Amino acid sequence: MIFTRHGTLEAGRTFYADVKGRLAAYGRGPDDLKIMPGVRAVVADTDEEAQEHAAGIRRLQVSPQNAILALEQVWGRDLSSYDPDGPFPAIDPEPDSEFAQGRVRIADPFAVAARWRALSEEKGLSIRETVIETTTRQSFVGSPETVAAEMTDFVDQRAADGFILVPHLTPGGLDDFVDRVVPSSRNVVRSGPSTPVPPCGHTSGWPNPYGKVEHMSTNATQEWQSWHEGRTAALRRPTDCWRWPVRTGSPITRKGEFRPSRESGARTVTIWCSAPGPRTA
Amino acid sequence: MTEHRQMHLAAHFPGVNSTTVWSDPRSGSQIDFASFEHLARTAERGKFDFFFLAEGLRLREYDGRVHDLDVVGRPESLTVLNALAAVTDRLGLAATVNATFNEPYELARRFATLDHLSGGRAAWNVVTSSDAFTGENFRRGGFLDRADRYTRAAEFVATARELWDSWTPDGTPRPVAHRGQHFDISGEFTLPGPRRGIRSSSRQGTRTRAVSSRPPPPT
Repeated sequence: MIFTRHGTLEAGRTFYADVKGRLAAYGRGPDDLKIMPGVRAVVADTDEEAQEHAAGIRRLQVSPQNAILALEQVWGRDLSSYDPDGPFPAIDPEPDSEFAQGRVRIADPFAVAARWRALSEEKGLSIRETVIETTTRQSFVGSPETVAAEMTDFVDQRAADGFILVPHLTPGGLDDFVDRVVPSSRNVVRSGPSTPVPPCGHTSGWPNPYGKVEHMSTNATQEWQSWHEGRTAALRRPTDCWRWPVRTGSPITRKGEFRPSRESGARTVTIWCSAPGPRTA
Repeated sequence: MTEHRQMHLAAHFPGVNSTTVWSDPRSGSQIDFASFEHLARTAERGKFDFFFLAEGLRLREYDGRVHDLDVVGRPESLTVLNALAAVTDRLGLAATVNATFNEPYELARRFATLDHLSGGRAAWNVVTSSDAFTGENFRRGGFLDRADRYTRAAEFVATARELWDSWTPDGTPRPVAHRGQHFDISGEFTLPGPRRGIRSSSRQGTRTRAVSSRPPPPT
């Protein structure tokens, strides 16, 4: 299976034909590999309502601060002094910047910057409006019937074998799609394994956030503590009132210090844990 | 009536991306099991093929700090999927797991275990990592240049398959010996392989690239 990017019907058909055409050389048939783009769907009673709703979601996804953050990822430098509702910075991106770490590197930031600037000038868009326009466009927007018909068309025209839906809400972001789009297209959406597999196995308790806990058990305790202390500090921050860590945790303040094992030498690596630790260590 | 092609659907669990709207009052935790359970059961009700978890091995940083606006906290995928196996019946359970880090024997064992616990529903999204930044979280540190990432990933997948295929259909373990550029393993696998083989996927992008789970034909 290939998890790929969703684009136009034409682009999808080209990619689909290209990849499926290569399979024979590997001794596989065209159906042995499924192509499934990641997509976002917005459903409402009517097409108009769905469009309105979709635009509202885009504005929530790209808050003024998030617009600057998106810009900083491309420019590779601190742009916090710029007005998200104002024009683009006159300065160019910083090449080979290490400003943003842990994200997929943008191959050609100059090209992206030029594209965004051109769009902003052409349509008279602010930084935030441009980021909304370029980064958060939903794939299928409309009434349940419209969305089902468009998705079906993509599959029928061999631009995809199906879709990986990426909801904008955790955890209820697929409720509308499953309750309204799937039933309205019962004749076309027929996925799911054909034979039921009996449930088995039982797992309970809190997931261990450490895949490799045996390599760093003593440090892990320290890390958990740093997380929880960070959480306490974060709860006092007024800006936290609109995002989820206010309820569960945020590692904003402190890093845990690690002394790695002999293989990586005597360096001290300073890191943040990627998930909160157990409630009781 | 027009004959339509079958459509496959899958659900990606949202979490740390900026596409997730956290200001919505309906928005819940991306760490609590109840959230995973809700989305997985919804997907199963909607006849989805599988449920898909991404992976984050290091928190993102801006100018050396975790950014105030970044949502953070992503539990380890295979552990979450093991728990979901108990509350779903038919849904495929796909974990993104990095082949630049990890060891084939250990990971093959964990995937085979998920497959047995779930009745044959395990899937693996094979990815690689390029950056030393992420590598710092692993005891070997940042390592492998671009070319070697993919040779290791390909050998990783091939080795996992050798381990999974090592038991006979009637349940007898057979010895495995693998010697390659990246791994040198000999012994026996500790449990029978997956019922239908682990389904693998790969992502196109700058960071990850298709890794065939079968070797290419000899040239």
